[in-house]
Amino acid sequence: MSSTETSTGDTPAHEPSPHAPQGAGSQRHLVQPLRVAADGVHHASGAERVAGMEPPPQARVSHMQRHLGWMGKPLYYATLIFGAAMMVVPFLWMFSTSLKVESDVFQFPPEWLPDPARPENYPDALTIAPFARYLANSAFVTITDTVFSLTVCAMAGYAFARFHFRFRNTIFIAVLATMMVPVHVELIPQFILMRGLGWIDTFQALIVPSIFWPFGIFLLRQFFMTVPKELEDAARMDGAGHLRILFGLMVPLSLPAMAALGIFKFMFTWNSLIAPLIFLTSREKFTVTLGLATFQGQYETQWALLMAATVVALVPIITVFLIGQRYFIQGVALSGLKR
Amino acid sequence: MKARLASMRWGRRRTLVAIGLLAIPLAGVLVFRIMPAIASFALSFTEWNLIAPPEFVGLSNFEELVGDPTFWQALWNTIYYVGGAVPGIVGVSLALALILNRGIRGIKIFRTVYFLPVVSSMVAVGIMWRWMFNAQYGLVNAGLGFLGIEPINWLGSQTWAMPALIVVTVWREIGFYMIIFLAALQGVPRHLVEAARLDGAGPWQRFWGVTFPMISPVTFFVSIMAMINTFQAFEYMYVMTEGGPRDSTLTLVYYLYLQGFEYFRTGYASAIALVLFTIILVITIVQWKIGERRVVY
Amino acid sequence: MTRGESAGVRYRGVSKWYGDVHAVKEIDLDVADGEFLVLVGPSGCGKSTLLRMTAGLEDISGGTLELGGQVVNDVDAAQRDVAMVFQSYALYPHRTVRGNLAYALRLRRMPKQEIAARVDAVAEMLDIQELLDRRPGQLSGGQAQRVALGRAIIRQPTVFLMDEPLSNLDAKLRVQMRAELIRLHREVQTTTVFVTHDQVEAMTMGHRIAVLDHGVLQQVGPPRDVYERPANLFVAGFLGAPPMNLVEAELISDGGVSHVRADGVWAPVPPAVEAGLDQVHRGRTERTVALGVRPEQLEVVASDTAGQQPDDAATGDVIIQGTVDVVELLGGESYLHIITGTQRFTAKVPSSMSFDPGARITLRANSDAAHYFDLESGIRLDSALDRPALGAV
Ligand SMILES: Nc1ncnc2c1ncn2[C@@H]1O[C@H](COP(=O)(O)OP(=O)(O)OP(=O)(O)O)[C@@H](O)[C@H]1O
Ligand SMILES: [Mg+2]
Repeated sequence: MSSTETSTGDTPAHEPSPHAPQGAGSQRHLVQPLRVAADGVHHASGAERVAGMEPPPQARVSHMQRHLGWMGKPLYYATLIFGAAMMVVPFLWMFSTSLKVESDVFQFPPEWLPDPARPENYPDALTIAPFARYLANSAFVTITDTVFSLTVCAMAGYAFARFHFRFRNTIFIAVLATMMVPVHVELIPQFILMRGLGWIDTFQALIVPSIFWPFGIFLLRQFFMTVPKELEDAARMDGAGHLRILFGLMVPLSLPAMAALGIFKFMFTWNSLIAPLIFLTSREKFTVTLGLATFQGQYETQWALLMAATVVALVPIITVFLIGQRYFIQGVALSGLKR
Repeated sequence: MKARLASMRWGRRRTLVAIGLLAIPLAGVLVFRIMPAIASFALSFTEWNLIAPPEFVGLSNFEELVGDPTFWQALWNTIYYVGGAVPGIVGVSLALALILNRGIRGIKIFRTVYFLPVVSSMVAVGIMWRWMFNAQYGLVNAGLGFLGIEPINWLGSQTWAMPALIVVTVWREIGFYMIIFLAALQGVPRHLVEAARLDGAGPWQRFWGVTFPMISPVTFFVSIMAMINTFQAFEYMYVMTEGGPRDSTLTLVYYLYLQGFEYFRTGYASAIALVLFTIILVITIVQWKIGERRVVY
Repeated sequence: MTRGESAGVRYRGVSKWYGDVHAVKEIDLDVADGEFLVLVGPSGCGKSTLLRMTAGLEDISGGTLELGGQVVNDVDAAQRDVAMVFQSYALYPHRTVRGNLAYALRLRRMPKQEIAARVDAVAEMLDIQELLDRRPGQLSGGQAQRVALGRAIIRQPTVFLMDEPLSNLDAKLRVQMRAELIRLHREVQTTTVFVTHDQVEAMTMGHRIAVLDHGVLQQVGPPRDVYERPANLFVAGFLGAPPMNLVEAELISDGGVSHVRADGVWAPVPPAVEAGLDQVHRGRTERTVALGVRPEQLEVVASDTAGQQPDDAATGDVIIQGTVDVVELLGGESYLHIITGTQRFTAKVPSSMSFDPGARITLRANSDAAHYFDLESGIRLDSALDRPALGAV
């Protein structure tokens, strides 16, 4: 392994995976899997600490802070609060605009509080374009994709983690190598393939190619490798078959990874523009992302309406994020902690 | 002899199960990922409008590409965009992570807020920011006016459109990379920093002497990841500028999209795809080599 | 709890190859129906491998394995009707104790009431009723151990396999669980193969013990027999704590009493040993053997015996003379380490006696406390006539 593989911290060095492709470049997420001990307790890694509520205790009193004394903290807070404001203001501004009457939109300098407020922008936007339909389509595509993708990745990850067969490493590297190919490079052939299959303007076209997810396969393999072998033996003695071992043991024991992957998948698919853009043609099949893009093409300058539609498109994913925040953040930390 | 036979019997059974588990995943990866990648390569040597049969044209797509000023413009734009966005993303997210790692109260709230744009689709973010950057009524110009700066026609100007897109990109991505940096920082052993402190190193020296070297592999990784992602930028251009004004925000992927799905020149688009792939591959390899030498502990 | 149908286990030339590594070498062994057999041996000798082959978790590379008279080489683990207790307990972390116990029964599609009844019975037997709704992460080591046992018992298998099930417990709990396992076995009387490398477990738990080394079965027999008549040098050195004193000594048969002699050591040699040596050596001239005496069979006859020579005390006893090196006090008894020239001995003596390091000392043991082994093959010399010499094969 190259020098960059060395652990960056005090997390226990995971056995370097000999099958990770040396040349798979940047996408070589040799993730540090959460270690599942026999007792099922995860030993905290940096990723988990980030995902947790608090910084590790030692981090609380830091050297820098001591050095800067009383003026350090306020400076940090000022910076953070300014940054946070920069993050939030566009959302608030969007929301404010979405409640304005069209004539108030064009005011300079801008007004923050809509007066008069016009909540009817929302029903208007929802009737001009079938956003409810778009949302339902997105939900269907995203959930189906996520469920199937996790299933497929778990199956492949299990096979690569626990079975020995000829060409295993070669096949695994081939799968990983596809992580390097940018999706846009594959667009045109995929379009041709979908046309050949008669899948243009169907949800399959969005779902099926997206199910096969090399990164997911890789991550779950890493996790499954940390499940103690004796647990699997115990399950075999108890009469469990391979599928039952996979879905009744390996998967439940890898829930952090499954959750992180599921959330990534959900986010990617929900937010994806290019696939719906090239595979879908009829409006009633549009996902919310494509629907919104199309809507803005038509109502380019009706800002109040457009902002209302954008809010509608954002609310579901932001809600999902706020509910599953822990897993989102854990997932991101996981993907970057150790390559 | 008998021994070998028995173990083969068992081995074959395991192999069958493994094949069963892998059949669908591998078939899928092959059909939907590997084959398209290869096909893309092959298509770049053809001329095909998706109606008439494809025609082998050798290297002529690439010859055309070399003489195509729009292609060069797109390539330059992409480099400009990546060159602006990646340092911004890495710098800002690292700075935020360093501050958050100082034992700040309310870390959870800040994390949530900074992460909010990450989950928002690029399309929604693009539309939102198109309004922010509106020349007459946008909040950005209002803010600048407050500071006494004349309004700028952000998205309508060949000079300012790309910087605006870079700002949006950095704005959306920092939350993501900040989390990665935070995880890395929390992995830096406390005692190393403490030891440096006892040796009399000031905070600045401690950062460059201890913390930064410890997280440099992550910085390296984050840079590559950000670079690869930004090289494929498409959504902002699609919803905010449509590549304009006057192709000033036309990127490689957007040009690929136009050629492939607006003009149905699949061969030519595939040639662009191949260029894109090559660039990303080369960057990866080059950064890899540099990283191997420079990343220290 | 009703007793499940038990079955004997029969190994016939059972071997295991991992690639080119011959981990288990042609084991022939019969475990009687209802027997508690303890399998001991040093780390890496193949105990787990043999057990896992019995369980069906590892395929058998050679020979046959019979359970209850049926050859089961190709029968899957789940169908063998054997249960296993693992060293790490291997409890399913995501299931409650109840779920862990019931899992195998659920997979066998047993009716719900019956499962519940069995869970209750097992929980009562093991005194884990209060733990049923906890998860393994919330159990102490001893509790987890009980649950692991329960998971095996509940299936009422024909054979129990246990791979060092007590090794993760602290000393006190280990003693307690040892007694409990013995009680349980008396209750259910299911054939049990129990792997350990703990001396005390080996000696106290089983009807018989089987000693394994480098994948080869060294000796099988009741603990007392194996302890008192170790079949070879390996078994002699392996069983017993502190281990048997073993020294190289020269056999002298000069018309009088045959005896061995080494630095500060003298011991009589019975005719059977001499005959065995002749058999093993087949005319070789040098007559060196390994002499073994267990520490607890040595007693102190005289302190400060400077000047006396071992053969002065030619009483027919084993005599050892040396100087006191270290005395280890262990409570009721002490380990006395003495040095005789180039050899070291350990004796187990009452703590009431006190010794000064450096003092001269004489120890004795009954003549039948002396064990003699061939140095080369390790074979026990007084039984060498009964079996082919290992070294000569
Ligand atoms: N899967 C395997 N592949 C190759 N060799 C193996 C494998 N499993 C075990 N071995 C080898 O087989 C031999 C016996 O191993 P085994 O686990 O049975 O020992 P053991 O007696 O149980 O030891 P311990 O007391 O340490 O548990 C060892 O030399 C080990 O290295
Ligand atoms: Mg073992």
